[in-house]
Amino acid sequence: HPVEVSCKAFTKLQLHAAKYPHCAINGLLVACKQTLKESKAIEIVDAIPLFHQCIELTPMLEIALTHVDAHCHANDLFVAGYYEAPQHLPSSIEPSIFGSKIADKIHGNLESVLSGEKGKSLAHLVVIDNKRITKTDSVNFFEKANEGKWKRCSQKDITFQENCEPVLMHLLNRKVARDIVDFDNHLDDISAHWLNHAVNQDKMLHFC
Amino acid sequence: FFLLLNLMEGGWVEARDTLREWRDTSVRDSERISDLGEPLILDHSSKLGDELWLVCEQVYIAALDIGNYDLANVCIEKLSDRFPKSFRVQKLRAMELEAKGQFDEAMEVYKELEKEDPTNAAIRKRKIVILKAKGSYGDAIKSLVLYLQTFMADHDAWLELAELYIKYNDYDKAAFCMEELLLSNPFNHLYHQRYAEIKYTQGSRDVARQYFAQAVKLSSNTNMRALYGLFLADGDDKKKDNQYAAWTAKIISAKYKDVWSEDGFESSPASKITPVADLPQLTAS
Repeated sequence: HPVEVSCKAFTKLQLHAAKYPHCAINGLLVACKQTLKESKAIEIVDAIPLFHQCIELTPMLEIALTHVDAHCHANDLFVAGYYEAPQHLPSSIEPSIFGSKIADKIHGNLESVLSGEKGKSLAHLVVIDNKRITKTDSVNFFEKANEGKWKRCSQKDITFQENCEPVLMHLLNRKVARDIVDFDNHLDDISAHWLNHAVNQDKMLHFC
Repeated sequence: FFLLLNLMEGGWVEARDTLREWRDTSVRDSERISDLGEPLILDHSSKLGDELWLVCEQVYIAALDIGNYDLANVCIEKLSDRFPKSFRVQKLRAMELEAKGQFDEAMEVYKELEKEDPTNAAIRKRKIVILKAKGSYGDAIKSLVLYLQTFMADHDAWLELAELYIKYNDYDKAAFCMEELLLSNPFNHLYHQRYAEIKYTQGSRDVARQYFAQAVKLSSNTNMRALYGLFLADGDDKKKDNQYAAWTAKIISAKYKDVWSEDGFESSPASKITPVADLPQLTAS
């Protein structure tokens, strides 16, 4: 299944990283059911920023997953993957142990969510390469191999919507990263929505 | 941007007060600190009195954080001129080496400084931070444990150690750190909540429920993480009586209704957050 990453998903993920350059961050990737049915492609239409502190604790993650599942259910979407950016500059790009567990859970859930489609290779785990940040090649996709480990996908299976990078640079220059809301921000102030409507409606995102 | 323009007229007071608040609450928004602090230091330094030195230190660190070495230089030179033989200034200078990734050189400076004053806590903490930055988490943890044997009242250090243990999925030891903090800060709802999250992650649902409940109470029902945590920890299918879960679901729903009906987001179906009471029952994982 080829993967297409929308401008919206790419930019929101990068903006989340830009808001917390000194923290490890994580989030979810959400894809369109209709596209999967029609063209067998996984069209990642949105990124939901989750946390930037104590990522490896489960209660708030469970709450976030429940909320995001409900949102997906109401909008014909599905949780297609998980992204993480480490705190420092590691020597190699590898999924974290905790991240692999979350991605495993998403992979397991997909079989029930997408009746008829096999769960295999539908779920993805994304590890951000902090050294290549703002570029599309900072977004490294992993898929579940037969032996159960998460292994790097071939680049040719992943495409990014045109103009992702210039749109992101424009948003970064306008300091839009400060307005990104992740689930941690939402828990601190529930009037801030983790769907980031304001950013979604930003004119720049219509230039993709 | 409005704040920057205002600095011309007298908005410098607001800038100074904001920086003061951020020093007190340890805010790490280095971009904004630099934006606010630069004109203060360059154009309004005489108005700050002795506070200028604290501002210089704060802006210096922020400038290093965002890679603005020119601004960092201005700050450190001012500090150097005023405090020529200062230990603290030497420590700050070494932080520039850290910022540039020259960890071994920075470590050498800290080791020298430590010889001069072995009781200095700040130097020991910088050494631990270098280990973290280099990815030597095991060594960072060992050093921090040793540090806490001497400086056992350092709450920030206990929190840092808990975070390091959480990162490495050593939930037992992370819980121990929070227990130390709870002993000396029994009314801190954030510590109760963090402890509950760790216990929940370990599978100790009952303990988690107790501590989430304490956090809810201590925060007068305002700690959202504690409310959600109590809902989760009490929402066990096997239990006959989920009274806490039902109660928290009501409180959480009410809070969302308050917030969303004001902003009018309720009208848009795409943005509806399903009220917690209507959420599908969470299955035991």
